[in-house]
Amino acid sequence: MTSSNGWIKRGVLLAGVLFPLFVQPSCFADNLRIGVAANFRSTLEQIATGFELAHHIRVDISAASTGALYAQVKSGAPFDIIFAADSVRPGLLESGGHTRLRRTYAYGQLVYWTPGETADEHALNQHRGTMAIANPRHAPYGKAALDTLELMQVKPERLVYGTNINQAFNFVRTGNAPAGLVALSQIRYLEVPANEFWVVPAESHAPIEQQLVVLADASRKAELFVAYTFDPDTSRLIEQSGYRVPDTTTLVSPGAGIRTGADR
Amino acid sequence: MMDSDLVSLWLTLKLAAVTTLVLVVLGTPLAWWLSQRSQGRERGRLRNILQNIVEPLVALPVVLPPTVVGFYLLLAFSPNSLPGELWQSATGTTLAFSFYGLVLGSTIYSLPFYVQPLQVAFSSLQQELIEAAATLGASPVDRFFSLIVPLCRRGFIIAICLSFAHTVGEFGIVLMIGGNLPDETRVLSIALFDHVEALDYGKAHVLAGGLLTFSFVTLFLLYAVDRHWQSGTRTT
Repeated sequence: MTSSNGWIKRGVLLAGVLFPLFVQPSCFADNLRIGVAANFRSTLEQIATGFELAHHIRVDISAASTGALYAQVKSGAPFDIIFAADSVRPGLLESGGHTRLRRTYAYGQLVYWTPGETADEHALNQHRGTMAIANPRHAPYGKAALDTLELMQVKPERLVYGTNINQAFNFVRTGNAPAGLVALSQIRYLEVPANEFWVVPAESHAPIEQQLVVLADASRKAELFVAYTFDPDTSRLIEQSGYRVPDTTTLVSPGAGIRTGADR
Repeated sequence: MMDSDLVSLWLTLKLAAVTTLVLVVLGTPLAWWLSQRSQGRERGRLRNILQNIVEPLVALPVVLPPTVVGFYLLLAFSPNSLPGELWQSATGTTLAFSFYGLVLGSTIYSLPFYVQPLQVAFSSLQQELIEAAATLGASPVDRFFSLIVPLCRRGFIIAICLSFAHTVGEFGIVLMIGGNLPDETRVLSIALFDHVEALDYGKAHVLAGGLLTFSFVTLFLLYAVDRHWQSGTRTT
């Protein structure tokens, strides 16, 4: 007969083995934990490298969609800073009392990309085949892409949605979609030849305003990282990565910029 | 449930049905071939080696992340690669972002769920029965449909139900090769993911609860049928 005792012993043993896995390493270390929207990841990694050298504070970066990051923060994920891809979710986090700072760190730039072809305004106007964009329902670049297509009255035969801007980019990069409306940061990252892409004028869509928030329970070092992000050298890096940076570095007033409807 | 979710529901059922049909046609001979192992005779040696390689290949999707399959399919479907180029020159469209691309991906991903239960059923057949039928003059086709299929009906039912249910529950591959087209590739699991990403938890609950209920009921019925047949075979 196997006694229930045996099972209890086994359970205790298992718990003992697994327990250290459940404890977040950052509970012990002084690392900064940053959640970043997929499109800003590679840029943030460069910023973090500079920051680590300057301040000797380690930075752990998790990339996910802004929606996923938002849900994680609402469920108590121990992030210090969130670099979102929009201003809606940061606004919601702020109005929910989860933050102590909210600030616009970059404006995304939308790009028409046709590998192997010459991309310009005329080519986009004439585009009829498959086109990849980010999902306009929840990805800011997707919304901007749809705005642009409507404004320019471009009607692709098939509009395929990537979960986020990175997936839309990959659809084009792998050749499955002949063209896409993607982010300039991705184009810069992959060093795409200049004739293959055309930067869509910023007026053709609502600004892709990317905001960061410092969470309410964040380490005091979070503000140090934010200051480093708005340092002129870092701003130049962000610009070179394919973003526009805000002219002023004024704080966004609490409650501003929240659009309704996303929390239904 | 919204109209677009109903479209997704219909699409999901269609995908699962077509995939299961493909598996019945392709997976049945494969399971049969895998179940027929020769007993160390000289001429069966090559076949044994092949079987030793094919068997783990069939099982791969059980352990592989769907993203691995999805990634390779995405590359293979590209018109820049040979398979993608052949498909495009034959049909004029791409396999990515298409229903047939999903059928192909789902067939690969659900293959072990069809082949393995059937292989077990075939292996436990009594060879004497089949040999007796052969000496009585039954052709191989006749032997298969009037003897083997009825004897292995339990294996067939399990294999068909599991591959259907597994295809309904597929997510990772579809996410990577689907492109989220309403009538073509936005299956229920993708629609659910969209609702969550858009913070629309109300609609997400409807789909998540529905999928959970469907999966439970499928497995519940499967176990019930299985118990019924097991007790049935014992009494006869």
